Amino acid sequence: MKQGDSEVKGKVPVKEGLFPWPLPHDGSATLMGSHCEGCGQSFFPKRTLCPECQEGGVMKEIPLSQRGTLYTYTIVRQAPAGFEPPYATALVDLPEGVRLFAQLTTADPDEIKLDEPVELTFGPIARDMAGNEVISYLFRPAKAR
Amino acid sequence: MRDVFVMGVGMIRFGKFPEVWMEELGRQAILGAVKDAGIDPKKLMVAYCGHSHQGRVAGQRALKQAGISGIEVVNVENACAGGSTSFRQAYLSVAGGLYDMALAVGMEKVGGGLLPPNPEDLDGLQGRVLPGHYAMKAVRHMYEYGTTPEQLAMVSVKSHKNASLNPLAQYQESVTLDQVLGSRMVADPLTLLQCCPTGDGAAAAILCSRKEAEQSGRPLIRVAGSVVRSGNFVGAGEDILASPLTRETSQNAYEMASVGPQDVDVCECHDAFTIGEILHYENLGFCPRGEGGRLIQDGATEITGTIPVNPSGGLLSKGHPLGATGIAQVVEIVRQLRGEAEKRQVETPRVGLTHTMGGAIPGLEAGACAVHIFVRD
Ligand SMILES: [Zn+2]
Repeated sequence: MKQGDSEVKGKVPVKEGLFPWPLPHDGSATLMGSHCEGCGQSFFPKRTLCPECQEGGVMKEIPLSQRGTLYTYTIVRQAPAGFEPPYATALVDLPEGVRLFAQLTTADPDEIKLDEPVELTFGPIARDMAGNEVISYLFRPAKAR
Repeated sequence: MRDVFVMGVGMIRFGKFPEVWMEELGRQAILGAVKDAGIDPKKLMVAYCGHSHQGRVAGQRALKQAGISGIEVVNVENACAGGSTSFRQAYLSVAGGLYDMALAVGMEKVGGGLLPPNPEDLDGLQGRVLPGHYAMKAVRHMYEYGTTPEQLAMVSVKSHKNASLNPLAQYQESVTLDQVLGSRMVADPLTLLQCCPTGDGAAAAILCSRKEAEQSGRPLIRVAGSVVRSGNFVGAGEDILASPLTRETSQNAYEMASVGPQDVDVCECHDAFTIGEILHYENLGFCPRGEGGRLIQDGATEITGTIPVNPSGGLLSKGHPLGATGIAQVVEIVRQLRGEAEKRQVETPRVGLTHTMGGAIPGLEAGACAVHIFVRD
């Protein structure tokens, strides 16, 4: 058995290639994005071609910041199969100039404030058809620095 | 480019018809438009069919049922803007002089429930639902401008009231503000009665040249503006309330028609969710940014108001059978401009506007936006 296999049993990442898998324990995991050296734009998820520069850009893989700003959110109360409502989905702006769609760790509106800092974490967001926990990136409200 | 007119329109009542085939829904709408135009269907030379999920050559299948064959038929997919896009193509075929008479038909059978997300869509895998997408706009609008849940709900109250006057609407019952606010929460702050239903439907329009229109003896309803665009790239820093897509598409249509938002007498816009209509007020230019909530509260968009919006009941209450929606908007505007809208008639309108959005794509504002402007000459 490879190292880490026991920890990922019954768990699957929401999609391959978005973050390290299995996740490291030390909280160091970041989301992996792309940066175009041609025009300076950053992207998530990673992409091989810059939509602006096309073949003329050089795309470099970059780790994205673990802190961002909450732009807006909602509490989803009628959910697709596999998801357990209520849960909060949000748009989060990262300093790299990337906007992410992600779930929040809390669905309590009193804990969620627009234009306030949030920080990255990882956890279950749903169950797949085989009954595995689907692990993804989420954001939680953070204290201002 | 030459002038193009709408000569005939037809649609079936929207709703759920599990026992009726899509081809039959299409047939009724097509023949409704043919009868309204008072033409021999053999005069139709081209047909554009907007639909999202009806399979291959859906247009040919519906036309066959209507007894029409052997003509140019093009099937058009542009998500919820498929019907409007087929109308645009029919417009181009006549404006460009290729044909003197063209049919645009939109139809859909969809069943019920939430539309399934595209499995390739990362946001969908993360639990994104369409009502949630609009709800996030609503939360931001409330935060920036103090728009209230009551103002959002008023859009639904107006919509249901108008639909109660429309025998072709899916829902024909009025609702109170308390009923809207008290219905099940779908995605905060949007309750169930603030989300459009799914359902089946079909609608058709016949477009023609000036000569054909004048010979018909029908009121002259001219297509004065016709624009379809796709959304630009968006990402960090996108202002989700701004909709450059609706702004630019409508701006182009206003310029083409030589009118401005202040000239519009009646509008059918893409009110899939209540917040959508409030944002469209602002982005179509009916009020300044941030004042959409006040516009509905002041009654300006009621049938009796200064800028009546969605007198048909709109997507929220008339229903939203994807591909049929854009053509159904045209049907309502044409009937309004002709003075044939009966109990929901706006007072002597001369300029009407339709606006449809379609297709959620991560990284683009939307798949498509269509704006058409109609003038009664
Ligand atoms: Zn680039």
